[in-house]
Amino acid sequence: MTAVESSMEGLPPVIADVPGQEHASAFLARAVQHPRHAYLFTGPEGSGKRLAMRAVAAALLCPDGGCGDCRACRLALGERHSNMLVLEPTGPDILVGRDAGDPNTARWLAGQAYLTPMEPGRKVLVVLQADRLRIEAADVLLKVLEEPPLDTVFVLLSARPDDLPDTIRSRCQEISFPPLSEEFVVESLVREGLDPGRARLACRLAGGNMGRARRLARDDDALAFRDVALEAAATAGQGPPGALAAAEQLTAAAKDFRGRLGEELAAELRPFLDERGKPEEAFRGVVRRLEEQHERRVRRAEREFLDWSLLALAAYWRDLVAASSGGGDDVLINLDRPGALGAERGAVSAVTAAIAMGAVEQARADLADETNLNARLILERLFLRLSSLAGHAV
Amino acid sequence: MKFKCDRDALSDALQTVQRAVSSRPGIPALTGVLMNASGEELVLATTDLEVSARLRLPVQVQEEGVTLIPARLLADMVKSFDQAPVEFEAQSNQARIVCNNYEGTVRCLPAEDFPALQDPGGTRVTVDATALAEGIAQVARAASRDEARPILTGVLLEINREGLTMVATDSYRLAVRELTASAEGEAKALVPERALGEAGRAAGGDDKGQAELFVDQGQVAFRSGALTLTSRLIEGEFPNYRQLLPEHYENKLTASRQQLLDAVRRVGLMARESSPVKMEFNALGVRLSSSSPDFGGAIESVEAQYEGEEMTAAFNPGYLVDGLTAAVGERVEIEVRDGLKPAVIRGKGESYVYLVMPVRLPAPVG
Repeated sequence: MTAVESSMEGLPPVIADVPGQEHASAFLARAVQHPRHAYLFTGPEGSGKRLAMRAVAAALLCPDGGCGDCRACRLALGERHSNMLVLEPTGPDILVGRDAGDPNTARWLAGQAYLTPMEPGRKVLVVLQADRLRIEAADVLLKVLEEPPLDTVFVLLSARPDDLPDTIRSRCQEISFPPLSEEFVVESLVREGLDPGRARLACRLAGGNMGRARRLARDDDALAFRDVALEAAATAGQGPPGALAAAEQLTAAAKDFRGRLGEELAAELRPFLDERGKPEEAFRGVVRRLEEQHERRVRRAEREFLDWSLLALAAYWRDLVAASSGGGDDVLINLDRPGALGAERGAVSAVTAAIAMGAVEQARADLADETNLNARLILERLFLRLSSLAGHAV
Repeated sequence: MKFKCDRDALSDALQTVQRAVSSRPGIPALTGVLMNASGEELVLATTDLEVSARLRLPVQVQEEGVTLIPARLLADMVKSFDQAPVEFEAQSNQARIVCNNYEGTVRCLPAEDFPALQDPGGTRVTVDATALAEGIAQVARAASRDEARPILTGVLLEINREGLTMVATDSYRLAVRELTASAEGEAKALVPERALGEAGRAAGGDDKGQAELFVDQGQVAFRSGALTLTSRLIEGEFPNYRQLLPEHYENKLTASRQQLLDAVRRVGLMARESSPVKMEFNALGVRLSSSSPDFGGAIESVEAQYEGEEMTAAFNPGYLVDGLTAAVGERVEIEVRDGLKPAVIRGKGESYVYLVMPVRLPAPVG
């Protein structure tokens, strides 16, 4: 028995099943004994917040405190228990809503908080991506977070808790979910039958995000964004015309990615549709929700692809910093390409590489900026800077 | 599970329970009707997570069991059948429905996902169904629509040995209706206005005889005939309304309810949005007036019997119309204290009281 396994002893089974977050799990196991009225789970995407939320809901709704086998546990783990309601953004934001009858809005969730539970026991009210609450929506929730009915437990999830109003944040007990450890992610992926080398590379590229690491490790095309990024960087090295061409390459690849994603998601929905492409009666509500989610994903796809590419580019420069400061191959992110670094290793100083990395990070921040800057211009600016750095390097 | 029954009975039953099927459910199971065949009856159940409906129907049960079927689809199917016996048979994930030469198969929904509905329990009270429907219509209109104060969006049900009291207020008016009923104990429940409306609908119509109410900590149940509706309750403490109910005032207007109601409606047309209808009470009756700086004005006198001092008070015409509509009987009484205290509207008998706050009139210039 490993140290980790022994520390999981005595935990409710559903909570012991939460992967790779011993501290949070141990805390939650105690918390569900005497739950507070509101928790805020913080941590980067892919760190297991949602799995932990489902486990907590199961532990609170299960008559045996989270056995993992009974009906209450099964339904809660599937987010289908009628005492468990999940609010998530339906567009870019979580809206305040017309009234309590307007589903998936702040008023709806608040209204549910004031009703007695559907089945005897507690109510678990969940807000996913809580940082996306519009300010009016946050105000409505604030009121019920201040004085919630005794049988209600709120669980808010956020990867960007700093974007939450302080008023909301201060009313929740915060539980942090650090990125999963590399060993844990690699072990899990290897246990799923993936190649250890590939698993480690995927984990480093994904920055500990389990879901993304799994996709990267499984899907051969998933590394495409890195190749595109490195190719573009090489093109940019040829001077200003190359820099503009690089921006063009990357933009085109992102558009292409968006197109393919749209097709894939449509294929995923097909089994639930009838011949006319309409959802079958029984699935109407679910299909509508899925369609909305898919639309959002497709809308975000281009920016996400660019973000991944830039992240790969930053990783490449970061590896150069590491290599030119005397780091060995084992500290690289791009574990599979030590050779490719070889040529640049002597040519680029650690300082230049660090400046380049800074420029990439700046571009990522600009892309994420809410003011919706033109992606093409951001990329052109980045590659022009990188091409001028390449000039210095010689 | 397998049963046989009459097409009309099944169709009516499905139409009835369909009202509690959620229109935009988050989980697929909520689009379903749970069918439980046992003994000699079929129990149909639906829920939208606020109101749940259960209906008992005598059928020939050939094999006991439970299944969850998409409610609207099944209701539409059965409705389309000719008058003939319907045979229904469900296996683990598919149901077969036969009527005359028609044979349909429907995929079942996961029955486990359907919320476990609680049986009616707690304090029980029996009331006349028609009176219950009337009472609900009288008080529900005074409930608040403002979600910021969830407690006021509900209707309070108070059960004691004398009967059942229903109360609603939005803090501008307060409606109270007392029903004589035989109760076994005391209980209180704060019921969402929409749920109570559904119960009123179920109790109203043709004479339904007696209706039963069950109140416990978590839910209220209404049973009328074969139908049981249950609703979740609003959590929290309803304001102490009894301290708001005044003793009888000295100044009392007694008028024809319909005549006064019509006059308030007519004069109220001119009182747009926020402007009130002014009521001047005098020995001849009451003079109603309203004016709007943009549109014009209206005046109407209603002859009535008035005892007391002459005085003027102004009210939101919509609130007056609600109160006058809800009060039953030919004659209506309005009691006033002064232009600042609430007026009291009473219909025939003492069982219904409607309080309405006056609108403060600007002090006359000069």
